[in-house]
Amino acid sequence: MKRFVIRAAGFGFFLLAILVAGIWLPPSGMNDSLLFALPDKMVRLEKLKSPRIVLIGGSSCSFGFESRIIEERTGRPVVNMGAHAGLGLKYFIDQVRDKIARDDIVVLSIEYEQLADGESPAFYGGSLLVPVVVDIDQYAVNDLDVNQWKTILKNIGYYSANKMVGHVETPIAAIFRKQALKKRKWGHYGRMSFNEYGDVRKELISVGFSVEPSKSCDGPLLKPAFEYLIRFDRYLKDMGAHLLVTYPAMQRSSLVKIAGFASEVDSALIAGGLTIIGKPTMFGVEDKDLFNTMYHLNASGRERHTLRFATLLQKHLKAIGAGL
Amino acid sequence: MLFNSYTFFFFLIVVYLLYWKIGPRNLKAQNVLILVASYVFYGWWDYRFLSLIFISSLVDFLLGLRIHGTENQRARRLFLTMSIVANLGLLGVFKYYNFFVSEMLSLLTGLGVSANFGTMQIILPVGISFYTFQTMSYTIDIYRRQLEPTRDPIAFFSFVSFFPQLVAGPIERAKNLLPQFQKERSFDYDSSVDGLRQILWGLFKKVVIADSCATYANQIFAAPDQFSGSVLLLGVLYFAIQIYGDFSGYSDIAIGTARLFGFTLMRNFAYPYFSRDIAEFWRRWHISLSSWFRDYVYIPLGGNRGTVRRSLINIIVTFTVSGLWHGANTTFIVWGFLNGLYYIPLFLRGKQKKNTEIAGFGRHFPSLREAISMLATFILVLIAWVFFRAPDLSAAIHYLGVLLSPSLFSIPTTQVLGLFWIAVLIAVEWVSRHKEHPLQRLGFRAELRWGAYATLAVLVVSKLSEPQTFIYFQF
Repeated sequence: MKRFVIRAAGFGFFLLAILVAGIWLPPSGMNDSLLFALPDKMVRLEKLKSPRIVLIGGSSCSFGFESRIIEERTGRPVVNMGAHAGLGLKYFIDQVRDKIARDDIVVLSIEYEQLADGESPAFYGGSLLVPVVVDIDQYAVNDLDVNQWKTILKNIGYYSANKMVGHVETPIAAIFRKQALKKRKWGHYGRMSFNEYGDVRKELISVGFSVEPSKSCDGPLLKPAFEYLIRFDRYLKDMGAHLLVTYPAMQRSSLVKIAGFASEVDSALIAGGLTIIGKPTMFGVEDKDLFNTMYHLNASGRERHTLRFATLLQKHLKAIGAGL
Repeated sequence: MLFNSYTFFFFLIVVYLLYWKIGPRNLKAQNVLILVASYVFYGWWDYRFLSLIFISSLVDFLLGLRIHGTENQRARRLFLTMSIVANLGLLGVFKYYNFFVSEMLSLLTGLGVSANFGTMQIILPVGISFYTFQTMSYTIDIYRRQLEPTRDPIAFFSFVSFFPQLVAGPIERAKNLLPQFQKERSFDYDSSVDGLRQILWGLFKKVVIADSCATYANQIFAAPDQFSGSVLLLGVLYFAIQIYGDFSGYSDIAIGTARLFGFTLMRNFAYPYFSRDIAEFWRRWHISLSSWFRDYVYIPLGGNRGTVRRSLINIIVTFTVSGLWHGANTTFIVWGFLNGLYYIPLFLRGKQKKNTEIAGFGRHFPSLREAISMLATFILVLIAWVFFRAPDLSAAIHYLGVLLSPSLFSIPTTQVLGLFWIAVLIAVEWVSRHKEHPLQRLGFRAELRWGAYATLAVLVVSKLSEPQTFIYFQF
């Protein structure tokens, strides 16, 4: 019995050692994915002089805003940090917190599910957090909380094993599929899919696909997420910067399905003393404005949404004395 | 709790260490631990399901004693009937009620009669078909005087809920499993090591092979009109490997896990796709269910003892009911019926027991005749799988219609990468077909063996992002 347990544990440690070693391998097949655009966006954020407008959020942010319009309307330089909702709202905030300076305006465009409670709340991020922490933004380790560590521990073996398999699989797949050895085409989800502001490039989203309406979230609100937002708001206020929260443009028929939840989110944000731009219903969009998901706009939809948002933003900037 | 999840991995370690810490001398405590662990395992899905398994166990425990306790044949029959009604009643309500109501409504509407029976919002409890069949066999065997009932409720409740095989079998007979709960179980090093190997192979089949094939099968079955006949052929091939990898993978994990605790479960799969006729296929596929239907449906119906006509009816009834066992859908009934039809020619020629040894026995390769027989049997199985996988009958017929169009002879240009894993599985299983599972007695040097295990484990981990449920849990 003892011999069996020792040998089984020995194999477990052997496997663990292999997986730990795999973490240090270079990323396989995903060097050009949109996650690797995060450092590029960070470079722009650091390069721009305050007072800036910093857009943060998931992909609804990078697909939903045309920063050039906001820049023209407000006269402030804009950076769109929007990447992927799978990283979690907490990461979006942590990523920029130390880079914000006096008089900056941080616009947070929140996908509703980021504020919903559940088995694995989106607020803390999912498996995508692993490649970011391991291969892209190692400093993010300093800001991880218990929930994010849980996510990382749950997925790191998967990520490491995938790296190892990927390094073997890619050349084998090349035998069957010629393009596998060439650069993978990421389309609108690649590192090179963004313009100089950080928005998804217009030409990549010129068309639209049919999107089936769906209910994206339900259940109770995630209280810690609201508390985190309130703390972030206070932090910015203390340094003389501003946080403005807005809602993402969303397929109207999908928004109807979560109307109750969206309304609860709005009430909770107001109760928390946060500055809100617009109401959820103001940002419901028609199917013709969608690109490929309920949150992703096509080029014309994005322009319409940005114009509507920029008008509201100008009013708010005037109200807080940060206007032109 | 899914076998292919980290939760189960940690659960297994804790239960295993506690179990052997208690030690074989304290049998009662070991059984209590197994019972508690099994209820935790099952309650992980939904604690409300526990009441069903508890009721099913309690009813059969008490009725088993009553059947044994009287010599009055009428009373014995009454108690057996009560057991069967209770078990089939649970199944009927939770699994088939809505199906029969909606089918009845369609029938009456078709006849121009307006009727209004309400359907119910019912959640299908995981594995209900497995444990109800297991407990039913207990009372039936007592009634047949083939088994003495146990007076130890802990042993009996543990037997019904034994977590390795609770939700998807093998459907154990009380004659085999229950005595193992009543005698001291000692630790066996070789058996434990082999149990771990079998778990690893089962995980590989499920997570790497079945789940990879599932991606392709789901895409193709979701939109058959978008693909050529040749791609639809690939679709059903992927499904055939998916369901095999999924279910036999589960069985391997179950058997391997049971071995870690000193139990021996019956074999459930024996390389079924190498079968040379459909009778052999059914002796190698889901063996615990096939033999259950043979012993508790086919033989009581009269088996092959009556006229040829009567025997044919028995065959068709048995296969059709086994189809219905899989789910409340006409597709499963047709699937069962079709397999019955496949079986009849063999039966009429008295060749249903012709192939008892594995194909290519004692040789490296099959003979040409064997290869042709295996291919023909596999094609028949594939046709039946279309009915099993399709959402309804018209979708199945449509799928077969597109599959059998001239485009069947085109070269498939998409969805071909999954063939790699199919080739790996077939090659490994062919080489290993004389063994219970491919990792048994590898015969390599220790370093090579560990390398092979580590490779399989890394492949498993690389696919373990979101554990996918097992197909047979829904049955």
